Amino acid sequence: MEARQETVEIPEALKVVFARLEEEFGGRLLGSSFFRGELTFTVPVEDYIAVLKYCRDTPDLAFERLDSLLGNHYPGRKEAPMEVVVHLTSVSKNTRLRLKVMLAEGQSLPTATGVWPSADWDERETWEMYGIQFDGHPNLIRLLTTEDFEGFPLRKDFPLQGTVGGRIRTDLKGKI
Amino acid sequence: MGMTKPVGLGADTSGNAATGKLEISHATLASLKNASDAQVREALDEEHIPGVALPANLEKLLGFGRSFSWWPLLFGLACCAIEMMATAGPRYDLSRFGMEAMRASPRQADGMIVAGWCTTKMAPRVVRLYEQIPDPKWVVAMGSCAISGNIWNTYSVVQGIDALIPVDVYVPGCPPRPEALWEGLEMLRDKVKQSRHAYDGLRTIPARAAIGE
Repeated sequence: MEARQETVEIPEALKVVFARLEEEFGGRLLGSSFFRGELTFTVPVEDYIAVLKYCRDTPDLAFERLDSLLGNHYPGRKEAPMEVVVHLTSVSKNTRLRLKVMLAEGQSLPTATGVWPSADWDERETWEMYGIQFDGHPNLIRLLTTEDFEGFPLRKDFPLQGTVGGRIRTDLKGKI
Repeated sequence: MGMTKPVGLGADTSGNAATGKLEISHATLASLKNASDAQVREALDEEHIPGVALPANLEKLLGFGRSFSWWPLLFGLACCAIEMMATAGPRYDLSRFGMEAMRASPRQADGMIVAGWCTTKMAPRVVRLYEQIPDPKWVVAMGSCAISGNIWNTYSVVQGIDALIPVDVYVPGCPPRPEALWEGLEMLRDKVKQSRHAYDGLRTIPARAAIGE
């Protein structure tokens, strides 16, 4: 099988992002990759908020916008099955950056609502779907599922048809 | 057709019509209660009555009127709603059948088109909207998801809207083309004309009955 050819040139703006982040956090970052024009860093939990603030406040980077914050579940990764992925956008520099944080089962992450208030609902959804706790979140309650929903549906071990199931939903008792 | 076409009173001079009085036996009236138009005409011929608007046909008259101004609830759950909008738009033009006035309030609607999948979180709202529609009301389940849940046999999707509320017409498709919805609405108009409903006399909500409330 032929090795994958990297045909996309790394844009100058992303080279600056890469250089500044490497310079500031250096060996503390767990890894980086450049794939199809997208730059990804893996960040340790301790530096998570520091990296976010650095990305937002440094004039060279100027990531003004939090595009999305979401979760992942890798049951095969025994040490750190959970993951939080953050997508940042710089409108002024026209760059995008992806940050990943790997978490152990039950490990919590500090909330990003202090950096970008728009992280509020994203974190609520991530908690609801994966059970990843966000320390300091102002309102960590269910967003999409019903209030009394049990379980974290996007985890790989959650049964697709749910824990209630059936054509007649007994969990609707008292609601309709 | 919804009702018999009245014949001019002076046209037929035979039988009772000759006296100028419209008389019809109780037995005939009772037998005509659920009769088809052809049967009504036949019975009228037997009694030599040239044609009258019978009380038994009042419901048919109402149904005839309703079928030309069935106003659905402005209500879309998912992608099927886009096709519903296309049906209401100028190309397929539901206003030809008097259905273009989608009411934003259930209290002014004649029924609802459940367009798309219904989540368990939405289910109580769907039932509430259905109950707020005044009688008589008709429900169209539009699309595979509203009919059976389609591929979403999952934790959050209701497996068929008829588990929640009584459904009159099912329109399959994913999503159904506007022609399909139109066909379904034609079938619905037939039901409206005949004043036939999916709900029972007690207005039972299937979901509530099944849960046991």
